[in-house]
Amino acid sequence: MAITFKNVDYFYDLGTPIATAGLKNISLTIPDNSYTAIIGHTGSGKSTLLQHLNALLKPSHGEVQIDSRVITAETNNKNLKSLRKKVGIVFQFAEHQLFEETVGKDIAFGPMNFGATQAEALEIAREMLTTVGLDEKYFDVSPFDLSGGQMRRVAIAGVLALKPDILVLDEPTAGLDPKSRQAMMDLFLELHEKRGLSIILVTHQMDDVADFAEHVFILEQGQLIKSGTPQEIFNDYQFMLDHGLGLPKATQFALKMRQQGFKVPTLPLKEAELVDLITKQLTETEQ
Amino acid sequence: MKSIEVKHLSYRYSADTELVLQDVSFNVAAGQWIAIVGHNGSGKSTLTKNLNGLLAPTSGEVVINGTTLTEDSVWDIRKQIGIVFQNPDNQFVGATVEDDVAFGLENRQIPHDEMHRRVKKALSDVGMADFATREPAHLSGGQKQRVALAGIIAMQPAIIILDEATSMLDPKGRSDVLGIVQALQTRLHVTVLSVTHDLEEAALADQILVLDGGRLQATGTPKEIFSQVDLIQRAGLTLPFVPQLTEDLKTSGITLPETYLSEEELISALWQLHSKM
Repeated sequence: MAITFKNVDYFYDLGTPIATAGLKNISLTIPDNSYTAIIGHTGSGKSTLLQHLNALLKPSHGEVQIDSRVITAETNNKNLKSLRKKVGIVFQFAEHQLFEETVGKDIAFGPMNFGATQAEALEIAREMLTTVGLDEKYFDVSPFDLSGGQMRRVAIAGVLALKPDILVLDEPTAGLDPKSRQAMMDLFLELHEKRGLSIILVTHQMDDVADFAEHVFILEQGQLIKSGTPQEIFNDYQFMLDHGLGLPKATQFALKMRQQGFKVPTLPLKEAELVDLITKQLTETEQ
Repeated sequence: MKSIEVKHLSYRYSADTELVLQDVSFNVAAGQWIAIVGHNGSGKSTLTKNLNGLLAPTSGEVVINGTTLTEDSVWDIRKQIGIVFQNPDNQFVGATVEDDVAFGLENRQIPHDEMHRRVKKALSDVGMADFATREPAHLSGGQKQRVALAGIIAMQPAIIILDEATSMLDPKGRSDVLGIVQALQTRLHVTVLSVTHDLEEAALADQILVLDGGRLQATGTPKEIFSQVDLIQRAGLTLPFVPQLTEDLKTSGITLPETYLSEEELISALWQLHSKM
């Protein structure tokens, strides 16, 4: 399932004197079964763009095509339900949205809303609990007795319970400890690789962009200022630095090596690539 | 002079539960930066709450600037400790940035002129002077934490505790906040205790305490701690980038004599190897 934006503008408070542009002339395609990163500073329009991905917001001008549905300013708010089922959004600090008495009921809430019987919904919930890597013993526990990382997993299970084709993640690992962070990034990769979900990741972590994304979109003040593969965007390191976006740690390290006098023909993005580069440098001169 | 002394501290939440802190002892000299590291649930937060009397030790004692923490001394001791908490949104009471910074001073009945002077100074120390009359809700996460920090600086505490204070911030917000704390530590000679699971932040400390399962597993300088890869893994943490790279280079056969903390240190060690070949 692909998503295409064609010349999308979005204005907050359109038609009032305080109208402000949230998105300006955005055109982009997020292909089927892809892993996409969206980066940009606070206030760059990332969240506004996210809300267009399942028609929580509709473009002021232009159109958003989600699968075969075309969303424009005129689109009726009815009949959007099926769309929202296909594109699941996990918002920042999703654990704040938990509300049910038990973990199981919280995860089952979505499917029941979409017409599943209680028995069906609870069965899906049980399956999703294991999918996100939580033990079944938590099923009847209050979500509020869990740790922050566990609570966030429950919230993600609640979105996965709708069996979306596309999973949108807004800063999913913010505030987690390193172990939970790693486990969560591994989970998303597994959902992408083994279950064919498209992942759209909003992040400030350039290492995550380098390690996971196939394609990157960069937003600034509501506009798309750059897009490409991680290799392409980080090769243009001066652009990334000028826009205050930073670099993966391995890339930054390699640039400093270059300044020192080392030969760095291609910039590494990942730590393993950097280790290779250094090992080669130090063994080749030996010969 | 010792700023914080913790002697055989143990703590349990109620008589029928297990100890969450077991026989923890350490000292922090005045003006030092110390990091307490551990994964979620390792006992870090419980320890912090024991240091300012939000919790009372089950056994053992806490001594702050020479005074033992008791029911009688707790109010005086709290005046010497300022804490910046994790969530920037949970620590605002004022309608504007300057009101918020003034809140603690008003509570202590600091004279009006003195209060204005301190608020102004504190906001300029954290680089937020231009935002004095703004609403806190409209600031970014990093700016909010800087305002929270200003509220603490204005109280002139001897000890600043950062309780996961940077874990919700983006990389820029994080380095801004840590840079300001470093500058304050040098200039005002305050003791800084940062409670964190982020070893990049811990790398700034003079000493690191590793906590796991409520017990102190190790203490040492960042270099000493980061050279013990097993210890870090057992404690559920991950090495910062440069020490991790050093380890991986060693594994792939490059001889590096020690653990490096900064990019510059490691690059110059690699350059030396390169030149010798």
